[in-house]
Amino acid sequence: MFGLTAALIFTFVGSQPLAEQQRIVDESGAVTVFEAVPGSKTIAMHLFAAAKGCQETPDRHGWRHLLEHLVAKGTDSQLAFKLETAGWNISAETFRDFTTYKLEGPANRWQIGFEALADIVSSRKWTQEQLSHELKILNQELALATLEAKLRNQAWLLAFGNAGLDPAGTSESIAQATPESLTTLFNAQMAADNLTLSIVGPSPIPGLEAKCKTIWKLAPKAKKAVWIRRTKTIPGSDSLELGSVVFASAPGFGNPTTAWTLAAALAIASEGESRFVSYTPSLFAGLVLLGSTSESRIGAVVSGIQSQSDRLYETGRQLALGWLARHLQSTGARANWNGIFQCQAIGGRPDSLAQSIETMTLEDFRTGMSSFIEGAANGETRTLLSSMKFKPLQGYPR
Amino acid sequence: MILLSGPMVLQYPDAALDRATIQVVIKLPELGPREEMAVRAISDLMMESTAEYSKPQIMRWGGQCGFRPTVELMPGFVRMSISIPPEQVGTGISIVDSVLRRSTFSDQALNEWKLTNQTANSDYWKTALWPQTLSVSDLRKSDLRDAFVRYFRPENVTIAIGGNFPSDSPQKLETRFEGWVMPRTVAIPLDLNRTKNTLSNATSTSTIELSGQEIRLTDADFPSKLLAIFALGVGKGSTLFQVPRETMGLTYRQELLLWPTPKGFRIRMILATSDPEFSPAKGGAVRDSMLQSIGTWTEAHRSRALGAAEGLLIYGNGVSPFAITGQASMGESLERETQIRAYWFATSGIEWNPKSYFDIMKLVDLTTLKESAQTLLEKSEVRVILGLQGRK
Repeated sequence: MFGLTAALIFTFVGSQPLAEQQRIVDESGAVTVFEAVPGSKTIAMHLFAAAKGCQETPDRHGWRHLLEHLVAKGTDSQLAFKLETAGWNISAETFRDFTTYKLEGPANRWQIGFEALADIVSSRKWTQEQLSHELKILNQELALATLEAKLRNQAWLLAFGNAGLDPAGTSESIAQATPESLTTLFNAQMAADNLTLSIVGPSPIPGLEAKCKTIWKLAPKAKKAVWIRRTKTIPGSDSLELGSVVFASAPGFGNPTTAWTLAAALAIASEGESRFVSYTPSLFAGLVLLGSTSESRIGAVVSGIQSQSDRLYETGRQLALGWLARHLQSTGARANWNGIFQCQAIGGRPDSLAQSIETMTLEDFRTGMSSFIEGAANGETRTLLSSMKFKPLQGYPR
Repeated sequence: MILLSGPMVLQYPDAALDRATIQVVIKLPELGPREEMAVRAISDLMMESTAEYSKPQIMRWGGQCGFRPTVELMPGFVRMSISIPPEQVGTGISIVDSVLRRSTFSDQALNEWKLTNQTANSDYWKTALWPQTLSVSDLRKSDLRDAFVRYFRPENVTIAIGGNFPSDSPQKLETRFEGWVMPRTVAIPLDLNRTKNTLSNATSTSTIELSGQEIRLTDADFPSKLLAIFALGVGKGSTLFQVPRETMGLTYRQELLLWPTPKGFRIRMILATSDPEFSPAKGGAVRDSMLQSIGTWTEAHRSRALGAAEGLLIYGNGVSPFAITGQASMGESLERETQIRAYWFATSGIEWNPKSYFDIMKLVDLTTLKESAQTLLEKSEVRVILGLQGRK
């Protein structure tokens, strides 16, 4: 067993400092990161379960989503009820690279959070009846997908093929899950090596390392899995119903091009109504999306804005700094942000993204803009990308 | 004739914070459909350009702390929000003044707004919250001009500054708005056709609303009704979550909202469904099932409602039913806290004091809680907006 505590540097994003973190790496591979926000009345304890070893495939498309719904109910289906009685609450979300269970509540009742964590990682069995009933609710959720979500999903499919499958799944694919297959999936995803606990609260928790170890011991035992790495893609564009989207390649949160591309997207989005920018930090190749839910040809808008890169530079820089600051505005937001980076790579932090924005030059910003301009020109990405292959990545940090 | 009075200025200093926020509440009376659309257009266009600032300038100055400056039509009021570093509060005040009094409202901006908003009914939730009876193409420039003069007036405006700001900032705000005069206008009669001919939902989703009574902030039993509201519809352990979603499998999205009215809040329980078998009669079945469930409430349900209320009101944790801040969470956010305090005082003349409400809520026994919830639900009216599925 070893415990590693690291004190990291301060940098400033806008007016929000990225603070010191305490990091504890358990022998099981599970990681805990703690950040103090003195004076906060609440504590956030977000558990991240990486998708390593259980990334989306066509034959189990959306199963992690079903699993998330069932796990969040608790072993006795009373978890939310019990948490709310103590002033706490739970929410959960499934992404391509991880699932997150967000527990937040009064800081002086932090023990409640650990009780809930113990429940979440503990093995359980489900019946087919439970799965069928939950599928009814999931069908309702899938039917409510927004145009923005549909545009995002379409872009990911175009860019990455099956490796870009929407983690929400489809009714048909989720219906194929059985209690046994879900147990197998639970054991793979909730293995300690996949888990990261991100805590943000007013002051350090006494005996944190020992408390976490108790939780990790409850998690299923599994062989170490490997990531299936998404590789770099070609920028592109597409339209759907009333909206449209342009996407640029984001090579990973450690690469400065990702930050410059994000700044470019935010600057272009600020020039019109009903535009949105989407980027979830990933260690692997991903996308920065610029979409519109009211313009059928956002690609044409981007092409037209090509000559205005210099005018948009300062706006893009400020908006990107603001975007980062917004992810650090509350205990919950900070826990989420810290966990997203940490669950993909031990020591992963938003610092490099922040520094890339702070030091971004006009030339860098032009590089970010050019990715969207290329994407706008690539309207026919489907055929270009259909032959892309995806390779397992050995020996990655987590 | 002109009126001479300035806006109310409130201050909530907290020097420990890294930023200041200016939150503006512009109170509105109940509006007819044309006026509501005009005020929505005004709100959406106010930050497009002003006599002194372009939109990029407003976004750049006002976006430094991570919050996009906004003007937004809320139920019963318009809110403006801008956050700035402490050393730039003077610029923030200048922007607020410019946006509030000297927005330019160009023809081009209005036409673009119409284009963007012509598909408003493709958003099922927005349609449920704001049922429209007019198309945006009916809106004229003169509607905006009339509504602006009628409602964006100093006597309707409350400005709250919160967080870390120089001590003379409130005085500067007052000075800035000194001598703000607007032409006198006459009130226009409310268009009573408001609820007729609601445009249908253009998506496959139907929405059901259990539209409840108005509860007034000054009601002696406001806190006990508030506890019943938490038990009924706040949190995953609430009846609204447990019955239509978890038991009936009818919905994924369901929310209880306290919708501001001139004197308090109206209770709105809204749920969305894509059930192809859905019919308006099922709306009544949802209410009946919830009423039945209230009959089974135990002390555990009362404790859960109290816990959820404590989490939100005392710690700022959890989802808020108050449709005041533009975000579902109350959170530990300077912006939300300043906004709710400004709204509460502007509306009722009462300081926002959640602890006093919670202290009274703790005294409510199970029998009273159940009776209160039953009454709230029994008096609710079922409203259905059918989506394409339901209209088949």
